[in-house]
Amino acid sequence: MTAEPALYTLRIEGHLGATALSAFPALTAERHATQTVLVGMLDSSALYGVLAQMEMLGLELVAVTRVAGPASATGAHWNPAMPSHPLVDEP
Amino acid sequence: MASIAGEPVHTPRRKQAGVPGPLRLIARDTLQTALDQAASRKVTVVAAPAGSGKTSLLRAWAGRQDERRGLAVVQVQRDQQDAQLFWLAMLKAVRALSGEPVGAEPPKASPDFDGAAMVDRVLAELAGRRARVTVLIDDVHELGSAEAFTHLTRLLTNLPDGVHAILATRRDLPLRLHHLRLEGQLAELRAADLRFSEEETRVLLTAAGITLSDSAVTRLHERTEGWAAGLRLAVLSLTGHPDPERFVAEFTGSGRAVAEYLIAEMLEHQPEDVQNLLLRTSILQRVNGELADLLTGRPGSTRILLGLEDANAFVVSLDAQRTWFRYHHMFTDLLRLELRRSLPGEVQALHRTAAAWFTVHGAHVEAVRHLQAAGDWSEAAELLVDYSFGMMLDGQEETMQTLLEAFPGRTGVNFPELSAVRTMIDMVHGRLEEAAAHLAVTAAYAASAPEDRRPRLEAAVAALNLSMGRRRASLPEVMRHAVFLDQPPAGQTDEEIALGAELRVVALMNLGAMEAFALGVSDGPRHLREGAALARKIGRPYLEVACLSQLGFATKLPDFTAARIRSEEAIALAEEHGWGTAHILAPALISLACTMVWMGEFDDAEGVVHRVDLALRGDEGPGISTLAHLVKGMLHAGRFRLAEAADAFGRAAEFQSRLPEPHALGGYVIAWLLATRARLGAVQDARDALEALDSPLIDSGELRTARAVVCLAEGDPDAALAAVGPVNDRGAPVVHVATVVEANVLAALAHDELGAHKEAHEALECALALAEPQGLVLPFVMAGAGAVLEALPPHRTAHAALRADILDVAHGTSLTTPAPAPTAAPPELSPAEIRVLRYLPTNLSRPEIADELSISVNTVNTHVRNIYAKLQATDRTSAVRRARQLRLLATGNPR
Repeated sequence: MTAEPALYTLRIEGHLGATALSAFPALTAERHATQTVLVGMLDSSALYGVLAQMEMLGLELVAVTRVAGPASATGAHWNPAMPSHPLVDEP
Repeated sequence: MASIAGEPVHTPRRKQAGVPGPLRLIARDTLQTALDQAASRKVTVVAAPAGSGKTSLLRAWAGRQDERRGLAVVQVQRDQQDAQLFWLAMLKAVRALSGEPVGAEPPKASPDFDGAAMVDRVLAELAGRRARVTVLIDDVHELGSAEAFTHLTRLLTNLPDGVHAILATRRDLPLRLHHLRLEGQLAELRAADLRFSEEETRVLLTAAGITLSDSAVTRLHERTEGWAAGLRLAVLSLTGHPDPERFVAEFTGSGRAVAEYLIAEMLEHQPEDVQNLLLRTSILQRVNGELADLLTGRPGSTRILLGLEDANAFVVSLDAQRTWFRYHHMFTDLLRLELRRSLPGEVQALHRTAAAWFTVHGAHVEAVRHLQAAGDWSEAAELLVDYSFGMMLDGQEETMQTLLEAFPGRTGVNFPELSAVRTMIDMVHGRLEEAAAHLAVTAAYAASAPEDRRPRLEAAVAALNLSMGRRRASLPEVMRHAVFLDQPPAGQTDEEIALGAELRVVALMNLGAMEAFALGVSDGPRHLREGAALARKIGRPYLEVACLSQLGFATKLPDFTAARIRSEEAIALAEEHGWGTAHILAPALISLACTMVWMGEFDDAEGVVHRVDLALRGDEGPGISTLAHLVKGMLHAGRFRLAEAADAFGRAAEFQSRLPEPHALGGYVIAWLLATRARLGAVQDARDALEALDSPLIDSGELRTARAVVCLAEGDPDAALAAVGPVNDRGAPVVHVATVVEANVLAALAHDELGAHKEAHEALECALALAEPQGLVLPFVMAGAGAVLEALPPHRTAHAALRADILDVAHGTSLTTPAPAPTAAPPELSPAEIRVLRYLPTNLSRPEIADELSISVNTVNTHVRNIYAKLQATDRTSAVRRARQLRLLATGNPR
């Protein structure tokens, strides 16, 4: 358990549309085959908030991984090579 | 595209206990059977994620139950921070089982909540049932506090025979039920059990009138993995769909998360007015037609809501009249996200509209939540402050805390008004220092508040100051803040008058309580009676109990028996509401324990003292703590546990030294502390403390008795007699006649040591005569007067019964006052019979009694016969025992 934000990835079954993604403004979404991977810097409260939100929306959580430890005090900022906007599913 | 919400059925369709009948739910026989089998065990837990069909399953099961089987349903509200509200709902549901007459007092919330006592009440209600009972608790995961789970565990592990509990939850709960599991008394249904089989999926579709190819059914089942919510959403979208096969193909072919895809599809298929309603009302925790009309800006919402419920479209009514509805949580959350995404500009206005509606309808907590959601922070703060007093009385301090925490930034800086709310929360939890700091901030802000806010704030500050003054036991402080009581209640609107009345009751209670506590002020009882009457008038039983409880203490002087009756009344009213160990009841409990100890009923007093500790819950207020330790000291002293007594009196003295001014019973604390130390053998210490005492009480009767005890311990009976002389001549001031009794007892001991037996007997007889009306036993026992009393022949005293009582207690028996049998009123004895009765405990023969009373033996015989008949006694011994139980042997008979 860490107080400092750390980088997490959360893997969800299925693709999320704009509506569901709007529940996770702090995270960036990426589509992997049949799953959605959400990535972001979260401290423990934020992490559990995200998990509770997923439960409420009836999403199927596949995996949670801490990719990197807490950002060091020297302020090495992680810069995700991510699309600058969340993917929106076109119907 | 046809709407799912067809024409609603406008009739309440309830089976029992507010359970809606099944609505197009398919009979999931396997699961129903599993539940039926589980019902033979104590507890069933249904644990599965959102949308697994838990609620539908339980409703269908409940609907199939035999009417004779009792069913109590409790729905935990979303984010239920105050466990109290959950327990009150539970108690109400369980009580409804016994078909209580309408108009029975419904359980009320209060700032004092005792979860353990509440569990006892629920268990007691359940134990009284003859039929089998099922208690159904839905959405248990919403319970906010660990404490609530602790109490729930105790309830579940102590269910009476024939009572079965079913819990539905999304998450495994911190309930320690392993014992039940080991005993095979726990049944569990989990997500995998709740999944629809392919066959059930087929039945579900057929029941909804949807025709699909076998392969489509299989694909739909695989895609949703039998998840109930997914299937229900699919059914809603498929209802009236022109090409169901295509819908299934598109859905199963899409990679989208099931819930989101289907809810979007379902919304898409609704007529515009239904979509509009669902989106705009999703901001609410509960919705009714009127509110929905307001938010959508068009009429007809009630019909839509009823139609949605009938179509089983994730909308359920909350009441038998079907006026309030809530949406499935998962459904709500997705709708809210959709609303924010599609109509971001409207969200704030919707929250404002809702807040205004809830404010007008008196639902202040919801109103504050919506103002916060609208970002109208100042308005939210004002509303919270205005109604915090009522919220506190309704036992919602946890909710208040949550609302406080929702304000942005450092609320103390941004919203100084909120310090009033913080003061209250700290005060309820007994954190007086923090409360005082917040109160200072509130007062400073009130003085400079805008014109329209000032009266409200000043009223709140006055009320808080009064409570604070009482907790600190400072009469001048209380008097200073109670000046507004002299002004007639002002206020233009009914609401303002009501707020004013609550404040007035609190002021009267605090003022009266302080006056009763202070030395030489006599207005206490009058103010408390006035407060109790006003509380009753405005329907605030909690405040009424608070006033009556203080009144129990306030009437302790000059007559303990009156105080006892008052205290018992306050306790009875409190117990009716389940506040038997509430903090506000502490004064009445202390007062009752005190009178019991005076009367030698040590065992019963011990039970009450235990309740005092429960009620105080570690409250360290100097006033109440002084009294609590004083009564403990008295109890130990009466039982001759001197070390414990000295310790308790010492703690009482410690608390007493923190009081700003002397209080009514101050003399007792110091006197008994010194006397107990002397009896323990620390004679020199007691003497030094006595000489060093710099107190206006030095010449009081109470301290003179202490001086006499020290003198006797020093082996100087003459000095002891000199010390108590002025008390017995009634020259020295005393708090209560008990002091004079004690002084006479000590004089008797001194005479006895000097060998003056006649004087010793005279002093004893005098003490007995003074003690008789209130049945005071303690002064004799405390002073160790047993031997002297034994030496006093029973026929030489007119108080043989009291003498016998005292000797019983001195020999370690505790007297009792049994509760009167509810069926029979206590027998009425005539004065003449009472006179004879009082000779029965003596060993005088009937002719001797006749002589004593100057009546004939025949008359005595007649009286004795009547006494035996009335007391249902067969001989002298059983008559005496019965008479003692009924407290007929003291003339100050309270009944």
